[in-house]
Amino acid sequence: MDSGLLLQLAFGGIATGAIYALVALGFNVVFKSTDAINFAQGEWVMAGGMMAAWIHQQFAWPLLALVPLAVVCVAVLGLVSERLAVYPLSQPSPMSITLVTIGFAIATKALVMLVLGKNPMSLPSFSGVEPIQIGGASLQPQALWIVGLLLATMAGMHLFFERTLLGRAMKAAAADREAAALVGINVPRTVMWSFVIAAGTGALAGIIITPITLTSFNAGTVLGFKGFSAAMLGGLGNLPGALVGGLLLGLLESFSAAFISSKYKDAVAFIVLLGLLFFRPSGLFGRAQVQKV
Amino acid sequence: MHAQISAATYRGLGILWLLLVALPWIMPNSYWLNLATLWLTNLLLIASLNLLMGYSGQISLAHGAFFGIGAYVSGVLGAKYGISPWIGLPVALAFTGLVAFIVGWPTLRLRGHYLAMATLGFNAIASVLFVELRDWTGGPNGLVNIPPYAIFGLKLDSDRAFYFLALIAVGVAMLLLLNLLDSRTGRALRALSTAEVGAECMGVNVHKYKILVFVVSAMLAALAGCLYAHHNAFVSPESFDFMASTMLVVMVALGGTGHWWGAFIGALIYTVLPELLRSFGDLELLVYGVSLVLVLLFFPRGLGGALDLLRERVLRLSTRRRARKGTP
Amino acid sequence: MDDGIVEDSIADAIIEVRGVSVSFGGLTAVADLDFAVPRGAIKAVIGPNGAGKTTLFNVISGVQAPSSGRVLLAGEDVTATAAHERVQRGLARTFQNLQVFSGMSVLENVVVGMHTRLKSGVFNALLRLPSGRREEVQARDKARALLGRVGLAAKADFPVSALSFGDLKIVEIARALASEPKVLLLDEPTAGLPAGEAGRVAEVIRAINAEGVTVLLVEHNMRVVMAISHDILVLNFGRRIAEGEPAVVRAHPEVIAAYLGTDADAQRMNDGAVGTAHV
Repeated sequence: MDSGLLLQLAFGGIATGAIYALVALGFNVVFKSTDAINFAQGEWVMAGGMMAAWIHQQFAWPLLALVPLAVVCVAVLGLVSERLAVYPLSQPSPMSITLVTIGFAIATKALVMLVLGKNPMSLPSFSGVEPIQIGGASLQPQALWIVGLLLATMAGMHLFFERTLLGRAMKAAAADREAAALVGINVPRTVMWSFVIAAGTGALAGIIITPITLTSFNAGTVLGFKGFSAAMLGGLGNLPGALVGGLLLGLLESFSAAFISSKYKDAVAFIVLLGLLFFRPSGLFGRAQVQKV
Repeated sequence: MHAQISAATYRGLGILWLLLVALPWIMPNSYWLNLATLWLTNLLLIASLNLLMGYSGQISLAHGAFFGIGAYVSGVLGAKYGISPWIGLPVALAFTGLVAFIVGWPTLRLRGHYLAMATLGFNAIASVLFVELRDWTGGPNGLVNIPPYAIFGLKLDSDRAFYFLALIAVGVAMLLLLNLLDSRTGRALRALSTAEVGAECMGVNVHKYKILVFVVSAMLAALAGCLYAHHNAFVSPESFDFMASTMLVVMVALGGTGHWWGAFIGALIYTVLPELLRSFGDLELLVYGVSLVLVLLFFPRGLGGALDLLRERVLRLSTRRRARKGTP
Repeated sequence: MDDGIVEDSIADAIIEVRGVSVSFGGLTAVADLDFAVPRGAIKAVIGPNGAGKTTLFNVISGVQAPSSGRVLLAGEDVTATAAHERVQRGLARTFQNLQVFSGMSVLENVVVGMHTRLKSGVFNALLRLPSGRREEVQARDKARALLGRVGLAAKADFPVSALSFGDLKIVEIARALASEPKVLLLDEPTAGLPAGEAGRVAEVIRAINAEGVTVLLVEHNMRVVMAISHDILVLNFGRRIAEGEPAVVRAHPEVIAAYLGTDADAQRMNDGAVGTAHV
């Protein structure tokens, strides 16, 4: 077996996997604070990429200006969505929040389509297009940016949740809403922040992947559900799980495309995923939920 | 979540069906007839998903896939092998039921978001198969030449003929569903949907009932698929993808998850909204998204729940008025 | 053990717990517990909060699998039997924090209890066969009668959301009775009831027992426990610390120490006046 080929497949899988992991992180942040599945996560990733691409296309701004602007815009979108439709919910059950995020997802997709158009758009690679040659396989530099962002985001989130007051408050609220409220934590506020963070990091992810994948208004759907799958695989709510789940899914796709069939790669990946989940339903790193009677 | 099925519910269904029978004479325009036919198919889809979501309390993202399996099995049997749609129907239902059983058995044992994930994965797998099994399904361009239903050589492909076929099929299905819900089985379902552990400890085999609901809802979706395939004469994979499944979940939520009449309202919205927004083109999607959010905000029990509240208010007002007048 | 009957089971014990331990991660809720419930008796399980009583009920009823040990029901090993199956075999229970079916009326809740005793299945339901309809009417009548026995006939058609916690605990008893059990597990039946009501429930339990139903109950109301129990098991930290007739248990030093710790308060315990209401 040609080691160069294997390495190539591995690089491809890791790059794709890192994208899924980034989306999965967003799912986990919202899940941790609401127990709900955020269907809009994929759309926020898409929106970030689209915004940045559009600004670049219209105004040719440099990256350094583009990135914060697009991230802030989408983070605000997340904030507004939460304030308008999650906060006022009279019964904020996980099911109703999940359903509301479906509404967000559809609305966001439609907004992007109406405002930014239906054409696919792209961004230039951050550090050129010359592939790097390693051990008989070539790696796109943008892929390194993606993996780098993934690691940075994970480190950032870890620090945030472990070291900052707000982060710890969010963890507490996620663990036990009532107890957190009793010790003075503003629980609805933590929910708001989780949406903002999920939207912001999602947007950042979207910007970083656009140079490789191109983006268009309907790119969010597939990203969303692959990202969700990665999050489930790693264990919903588990941040390192998102990393492992995403990479595993990316590698599964890459290798099954090569060794089984590129047409059936999605089916194979899902079959393996569902099989794994059947034996560990709470995901590779998730904790089973205990029900008290 | 679920109001007790009562004689009033049966009466309501009966009256509605009578009106629907009279429809071709009340509104002879074939445009309305086709719309009503579409509404009937959508009702099957949404009512069956409503059953599942209402009683398992979880989201299923596989309904589009079951719709598709029904459509393709019956469609392929008719288009490629010349088998009568009347035989294709039970075959499609049985096959879909079996698939649902296999998917549901391990899945429904587990809690949490596993059902959403498994059904999402299953729909993704089904979508791939609809496209890739070209020899049967016709690939991404779809399956053509699906024959219509026929009785003694008489093809039921005119608008009116098919309308009545759909009316009978969907009517029977809804009646059976109502019977199921107003029974010991229905009561067990309602029990397990509100206090699962309590139900299990009262002797309800929760796992068995969850699978029952999953299989029944899948088979009803397959029935809708058969009707759709043999009326449209053509099916393609996009009608059964993730987007389709998600929209069905949205419609159930809009109508009111678990609410009997909510499914009727959801089906109405699903059928009529595209028509209303046709002239707005791209805005359709935005309206869907925004209206879902608005309905969930102001009517947490969906539009069906809103109707209930309205009815209660009217009842209270009329009772008060009668009390004031002195009549008991 | 060919037909599930365990050879050395105690002849007249309707429930036997053998070497049952339950651990959740690092926490041991029940530790190597052995005891039996004599057929026809009213046996109480008492102990401070956190002693493992509800966990024990969960193991016996099949909601919780033990980490080790066995549960026998009428001589048969049911450790691996599903909870709904155990109802079929004559075990019914109520819940400390209620598992009532919201959205249904009180009457319907009780009818659910009859699930294992009714026959009509899916086929019968779909076609609305007359035998099924007849069965339904009979079931409702029986349920109404049961509610009458526990004093809730007037509220039979109320939605459960309209009833107090205490009333709902009684609904659960009626519901459990509806399954025609051989043994009834009652988890804190008098919790949440106003002072006078506890006595009424105690009488209901006595009446049920008089009809041949064995009762195992978890209770904190010592007056009730001392008044109606034939046999008491005392748990602390998941272990048995005493077992026997009320008079014996009441004077047992370890029991007194577990609850109260001092001699002065022991006097109150002896008068059966300690009725800590843990809501």
